[in-house]
Amino acid sequence: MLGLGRGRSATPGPPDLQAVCKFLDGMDLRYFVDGQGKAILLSFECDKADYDMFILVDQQHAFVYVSLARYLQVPRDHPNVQAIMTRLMETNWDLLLGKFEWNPNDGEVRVAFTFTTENGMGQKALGAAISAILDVADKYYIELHAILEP
Amino acid sequence: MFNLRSTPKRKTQAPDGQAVARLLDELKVKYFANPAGDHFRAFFDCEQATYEVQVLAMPRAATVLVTVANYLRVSRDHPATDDLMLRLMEINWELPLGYFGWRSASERIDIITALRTTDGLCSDTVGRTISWLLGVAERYHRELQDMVEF
Repeated sequence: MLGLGRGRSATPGPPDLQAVCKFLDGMDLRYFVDGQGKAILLSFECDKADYDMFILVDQQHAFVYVSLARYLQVPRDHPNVQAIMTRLMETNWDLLLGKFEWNPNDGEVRVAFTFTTENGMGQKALGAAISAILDVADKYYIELHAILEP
Repeated sequence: MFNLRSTPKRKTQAPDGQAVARLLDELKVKYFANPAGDHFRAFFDCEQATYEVQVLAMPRAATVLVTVANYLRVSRDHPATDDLMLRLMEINWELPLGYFGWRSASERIDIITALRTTDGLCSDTVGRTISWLLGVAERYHRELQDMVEF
């Protein structure tokens, strides 16, 4: 899916937004930086669906947050909200990389992964995380959407 | 709990069990190791409870898994399970690092973090991760215990 190519060596410390953009350039990925310069936005066409991804880079606190936005929409009053949250918690146990998380205020469910970047972060690691999150999203897409159907 | 400030920075590449043991030694964590030397258990006395932290080295996956193990136990047919799963998914949204996962077969709920080690791993990161997870465990201990013990 991604042209990871040869992994660049890790940055010596927590990367900033520009460094992460360079990694994405190295993977030949098209992206946008939001108006405030705090997030990177990407879109992917996968087997089961198209996904919007955003990457937040926090150099000060040494983490990079990679997330698929609006993977599911589950309002608190959805008739199957308990069934889907139970299944997502079980799925969280099985995941080696990534997690499902839910915002009950607007019903958004994301697939996300947070890098700790005290040791730096390389292009290879970022590419692997992006691929893994997209794989998780596609793997569970049909099952999870079926639970949500009335 | 343990002194992070005096921890020397040390980088390794995709650490195996021996390397993880050295990092824990640097942190002066007392631990039990399995015979294979890649799975470590340590116990931390905190204000509200004693927590079991497990560290698993997975060099082939370039990952070190850090968990607060057996944090809660809840069966599928427990009357509070549905509400608990919603609350844990909500907390997962709030956590920048780590997440709750549930293994329904063993009724076990852990707090989990996967550290990618493609770019190495230092004792600072391991120490901060353990401290963070213990902080999460303490923060939600009373609320979650109340939910399952009503």
